[in-house]
Amino acid sequence: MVGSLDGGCADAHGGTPSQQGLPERLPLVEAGNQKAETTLPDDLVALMVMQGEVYWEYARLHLDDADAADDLVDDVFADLAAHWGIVLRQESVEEFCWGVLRGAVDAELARLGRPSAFTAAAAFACAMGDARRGFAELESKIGLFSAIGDLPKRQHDVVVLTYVLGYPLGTAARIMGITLAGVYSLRRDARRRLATALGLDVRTAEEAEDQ
Amino acid sequence: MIDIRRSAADTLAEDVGEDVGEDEGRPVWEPLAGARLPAPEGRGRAALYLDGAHTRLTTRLKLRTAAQPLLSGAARADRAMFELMALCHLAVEDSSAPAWLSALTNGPDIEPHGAYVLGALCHLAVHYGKDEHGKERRRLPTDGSRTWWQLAAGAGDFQAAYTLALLAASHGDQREARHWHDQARQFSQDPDIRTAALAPYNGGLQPAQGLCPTLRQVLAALPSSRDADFGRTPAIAPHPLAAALHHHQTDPRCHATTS
Repeated sequence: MVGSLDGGCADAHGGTPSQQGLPERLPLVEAGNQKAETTLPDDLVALMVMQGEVYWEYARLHLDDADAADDLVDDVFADLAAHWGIVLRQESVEEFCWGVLRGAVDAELARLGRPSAFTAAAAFACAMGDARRGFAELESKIGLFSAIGDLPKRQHDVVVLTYVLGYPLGTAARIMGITLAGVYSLRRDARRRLATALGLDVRTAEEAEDQ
Repeated sequence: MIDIRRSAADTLAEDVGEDVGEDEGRPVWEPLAGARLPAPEGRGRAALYLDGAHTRLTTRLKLRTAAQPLLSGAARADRAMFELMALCHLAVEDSSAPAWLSALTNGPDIEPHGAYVLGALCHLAVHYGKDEHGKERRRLPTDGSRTWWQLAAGAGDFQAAYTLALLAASHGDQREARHWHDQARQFSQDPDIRTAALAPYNGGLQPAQGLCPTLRQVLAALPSSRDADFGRTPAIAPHPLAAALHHHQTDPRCHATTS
């Protein structure tokens, strides 16, 4: 199933480079050569049950369209199923799949020719939760979510998963396929950047959850 | 249905490093406390996604096969990752790599291509091979390779810009990938950027067993800095590193015999 892509990853998997190592010219594989799967692998169904909801929430936040999120996440899982051999070969399956989701969101936004709807979608959803405070609440949230939207990708993802969507840190680590230490480190970096962007005391951001 | 908000409460705990343990359960930093979206009443729209997902996907998968070749995000990301790894190997195993590293001096004569080689070394050290206990290496929260490639690309090194494009593409960051791809094309003045990136290595590659332990130790011993923009980055120490790399390239124990 993995087929010709096996060639170059000798060192990654401790193989014998003399047999598998890189030849003088790289065998750059064309994606179309892969023999596609036509049934859903059981592990993929498990992944879908575990991550389907959060993938959907992430896509919804960026596209601001529930039906489009359905479509996009279906596409992502279908793509992963069709290339399940590639997925299983990855160093971290979750990190790889998360990357495919993000790539699909980026590609869809590019196709639509518009930027991410994250700031507006999140600020609106958040303000609706406290409708009594109405418009003033919406305005104050826009600054915050705009700053979150401007974070570097991985910091953005960690903040969205843990603060905006409220997943526990360990779950966020599993969703993104990185270590818990990585999540802590990205969160700290994100708080520091947000404090700067929002004109707040950087020290409080660093100390807030580190006391 | 599995609610992953409540389950899996940190079964990863045994596999974490020094950074962990300080802020779960602490009060949330005030500005971010207001970022939490309200939980839906009853079953949210997200939960509905899984209803009938199996049937939808089975149908879609059949359509997909009939409609081949479709652009596959998974195949593209995998290919970028693979190509990136290959370029890093070529850069590190190239016989002039130690000289490039030596020229990475902290002064006006700094050689940006040395930063490209150092980035490649960092990438291989973090992502590939086994640790000293023979366990598969887990990804570390370090961005050393990205930082060094950004430095090199900032000085117009097209190979660094191209590796940054591959790195972004392998994480699904398509916009960033397009940006670096455009930069690489601009720097190299060559529309076929992949061929241009491979051209310096026409002499071929000596297959290696990955980075040798000595080289890894020298790399790991470099003092590193932390930065909110760049993450963890090893500092410049070109000479010991160049010596270790030279040793790695010339010591037959570091390389597979091709018999």
